[in-house]
Amino acid sequence: MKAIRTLSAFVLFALAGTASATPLIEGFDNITSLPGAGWSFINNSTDAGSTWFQGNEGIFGAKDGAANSYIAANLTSTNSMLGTISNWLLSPTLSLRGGETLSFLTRTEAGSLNADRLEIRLSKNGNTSQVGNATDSLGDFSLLLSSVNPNLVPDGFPTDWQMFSVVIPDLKGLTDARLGFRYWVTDTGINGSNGNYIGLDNVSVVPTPSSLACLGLGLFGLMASVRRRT
Amino acid sequence: MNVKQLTRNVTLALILGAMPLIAQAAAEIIVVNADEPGEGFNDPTPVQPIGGNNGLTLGQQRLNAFQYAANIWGRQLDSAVPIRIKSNFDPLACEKDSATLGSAGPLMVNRDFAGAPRTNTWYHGALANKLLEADDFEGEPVIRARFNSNLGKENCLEGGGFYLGLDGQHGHLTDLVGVLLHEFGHGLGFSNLTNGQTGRRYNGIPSMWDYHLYDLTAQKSWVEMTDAERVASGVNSRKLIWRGQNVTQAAPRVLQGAPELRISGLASVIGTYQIGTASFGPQITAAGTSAEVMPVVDQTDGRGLACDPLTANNASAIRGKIALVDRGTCSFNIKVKNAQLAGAVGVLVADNAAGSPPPGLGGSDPTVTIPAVRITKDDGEKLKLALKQRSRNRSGIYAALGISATQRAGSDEAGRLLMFAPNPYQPGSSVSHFDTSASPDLLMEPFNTESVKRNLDAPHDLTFPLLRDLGW
Repeated sequence: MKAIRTLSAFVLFALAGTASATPLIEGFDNITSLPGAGWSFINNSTDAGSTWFQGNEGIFGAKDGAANSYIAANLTSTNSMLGTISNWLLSPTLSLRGGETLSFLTRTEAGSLNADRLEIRLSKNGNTSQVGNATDSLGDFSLLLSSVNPNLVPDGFPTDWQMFSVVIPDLKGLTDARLGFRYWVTDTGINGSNGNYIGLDNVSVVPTPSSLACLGLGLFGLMASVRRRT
Repeated sequence: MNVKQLTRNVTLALILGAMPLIAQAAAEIIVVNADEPGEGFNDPTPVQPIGGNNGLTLGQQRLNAFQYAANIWGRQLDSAVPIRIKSNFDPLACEKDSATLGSAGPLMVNRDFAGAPRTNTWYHGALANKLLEADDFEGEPVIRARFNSNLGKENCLEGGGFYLGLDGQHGHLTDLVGVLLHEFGHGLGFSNLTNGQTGRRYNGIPSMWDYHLYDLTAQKSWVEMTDAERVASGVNSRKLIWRGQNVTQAAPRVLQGAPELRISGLASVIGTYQIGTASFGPQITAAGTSAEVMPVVDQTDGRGLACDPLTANNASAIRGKIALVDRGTCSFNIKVKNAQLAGAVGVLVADNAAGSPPPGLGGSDPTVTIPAVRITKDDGEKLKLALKQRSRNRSGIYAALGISATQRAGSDEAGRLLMFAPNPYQPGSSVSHFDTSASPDLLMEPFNTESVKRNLDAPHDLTFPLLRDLGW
């Protein structure tokens, strides 16, 4: 299992600080284990094809760990020659209260000019996997937390691993929630202009107490020292 | 003596004369003319001498060709007993584009004769007589051979009849001497006596063939197998081998390095794949062609036929790559040419019908400059599934078309000859021929090939080494 050093450090701290929330750390070493861990795959694309799959190291390698230890989605999400992709990856049900930090890494292929887009959405509706059944439906996942390359700009998706972080909004008390990672691309398929291949790695959700700024600096210092030793 | 006659369904009345054709050889081969008056060997149609065959009637030229082929075999063999071959011309299976040229097999088999190397084992009649050094069949023919009387006529390889010259300059016609050499080989011993479709042995007794035939999957020789295991082995494409020492020792002097397709990259598809080579485009060489594999997709069902110029997206995907296209709708050379025009450096054509080994890619186009090979439907589907994990222009799956450093064309990795075991089974062809992957082509492959020379022994051919394994 690959190490996610930054996140491990956060989690050690977080567990001590906010024991009631559910942390999440996923490095996608083996995606066949995801359904057993509460993850769901739903492909609402036009003439749905591939669901999210184990990273292909021949396109690019993972940020760390085994080269294929990330999860990917691509243009074969649709079997249509020209259609829309709406390919969902839903996290396990998490107990969140708001204020937690969601972090993830994503990227596309170097030199890619066929625009990709990744949305991160939240459902506050328990263990639901309701995302509707159309290319544009959102179901219970109407709350948009973040969007990478929202306007489908041809070179708008990072072509090297880039970390994104977003703070979960206030949920008015401890709430069962799920995250939805949606690979959403219009005008795609073999004959389409958009849609190529994206990777997603090192997804984490950790509680963020008010003292994060101070303690976090110390933790980052620790992380740096660990890196020097290895 | 335990003598068994395989067939006696041709009455002696049909045998119009036994004609000794050769007298100055290590073995004498006698053709027993089984044709009716006026047909086959007795056809009085006047003809012009051709290619060293001075006969002035069609029948005489056919006999002359027989004598010529018999001389070649006679010089190779060593037997004190004349070998009688009952022969005639009959209407055999025909289609517009394919036809059975001839067929032959043992008319007599024998076992437990004095001097038999193995007890309770069938030997072809000619070989049994040689080993016994006496004629145990009292002058009866030991081989039955028939040749297609309709060849070249309408709906029977029309315009492509037998060439009766002796010089091998047959052009677009079928060289009768070559066909005769092949069929005589079957009669002399190059044929299985155990039924590959039912697995049953002739009268429940194995033949010498069964001792040398070995299945790499079952890891058993045919003599060790149950009937069901032999049935499975008969369709175990390129896993059925000949273990005889004479063939294995001669093979390196005869066979070239094997063209091969190696796939690397994603773990699910790594390996060496069975291929059929193309009759057009460049030969696969030791220098080879290596590139990433990308699919062409131009059909709504996910196939890529490449029958039309490729779209910009497809062209971008395969530029500098080895393109995977599907068989169907148009000829192979059109697909390969379209891929070439889009910038591909090679083509894999995935079959659309189940079966192995993959046949070659027929067709011609002198402007094709990239190599192409055919792979099985199963392998094509396996590759296409893995290729779903691609990006627009990368797959992480690599193909290398080259010549094997260790394996020869037509043998397994240990240098033992592959036998023809296609799936589905082909009665009359399966198990009793060398595999079609042999290169250069061998006399005893199931299809008539132009490149076969009129030699029976190494370094040109492996027919006689196989007969030696049987006891010749």
